[in-house]
Amino acid sequence: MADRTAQHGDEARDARGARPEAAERFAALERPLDAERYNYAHFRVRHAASEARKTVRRAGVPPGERAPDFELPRVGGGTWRLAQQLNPPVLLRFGSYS
Amino acid sequence: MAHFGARVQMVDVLVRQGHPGPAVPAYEHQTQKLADARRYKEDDGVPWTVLVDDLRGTVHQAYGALADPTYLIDVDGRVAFYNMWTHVPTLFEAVEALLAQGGRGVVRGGVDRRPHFAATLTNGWPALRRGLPQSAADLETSVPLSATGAWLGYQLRPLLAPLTLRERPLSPAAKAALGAAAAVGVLLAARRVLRPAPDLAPEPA
Repeated sequence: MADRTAQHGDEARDARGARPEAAERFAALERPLDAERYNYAHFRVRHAASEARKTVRRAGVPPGERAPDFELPRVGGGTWRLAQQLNPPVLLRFGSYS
Repeated sequence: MAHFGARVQMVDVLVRQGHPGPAVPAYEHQTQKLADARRYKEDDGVPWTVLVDDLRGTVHQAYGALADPTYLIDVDGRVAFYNMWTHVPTLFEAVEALLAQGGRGVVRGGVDRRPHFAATLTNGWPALRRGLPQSAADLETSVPLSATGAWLGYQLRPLLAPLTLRERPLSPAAKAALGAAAAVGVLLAARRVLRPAPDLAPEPA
């Protein structure tokens, strides 16, 4: 992980630009994790580093872009779908129990 | 955010365990996640909507998978503001700006990437505490002094909270006053340190 970052760190930063090769590698880095890797059993240096990297790289949905629609179960019953709840504006926060 | 009443809706999405430990192990089943979300809503008396992401964090990952981000989404379903590390005063200003422009468009530059450590250090401990001792040991090993800092910040909460957990941004006057107070404090401390000890001072003639 550390090697890949060192190697592609600078390219990744402007990967949304004109270099298709770098963009491809960048996309590969953004591939979603499977359930096992996503739900890590220990918080390690690599997780802290990944948070820092994602912050620098502005991982996430950029301003002005459409927020990906989703429908999730809600506490208290039923589900909640973003596309059906857009007015008034939504403050969507992601957080952990621990 | 109560200030805005029904003019903005708040929605929490419960994601993976950030700091797992014996009592809060990494999720293996969706039911564990649902139970934690229910506990979070009930124990903390959360009045707004709490949603539960799937086991693999599909929605969380689609939104960048940071530890504690908040998105402000406008009435067209576009991102008006992305607060990569949730900070209430910053969001307060963003919501205010969005409502002022009719609920549409990008506000306040669109992104805030600052980690806002002061707020995290003041209110991060209760979540970390759920996974003790592993959660604190793991965090301290990965980011030295951060678990200790969170513990200390929580102890000093009565002192820090009015400043670090405020809902509205500080006014420029309050910022200037705080800066001046800090400068005076530093000066006084420096004078005390630099003043020669009485027994070393030259004898009066």
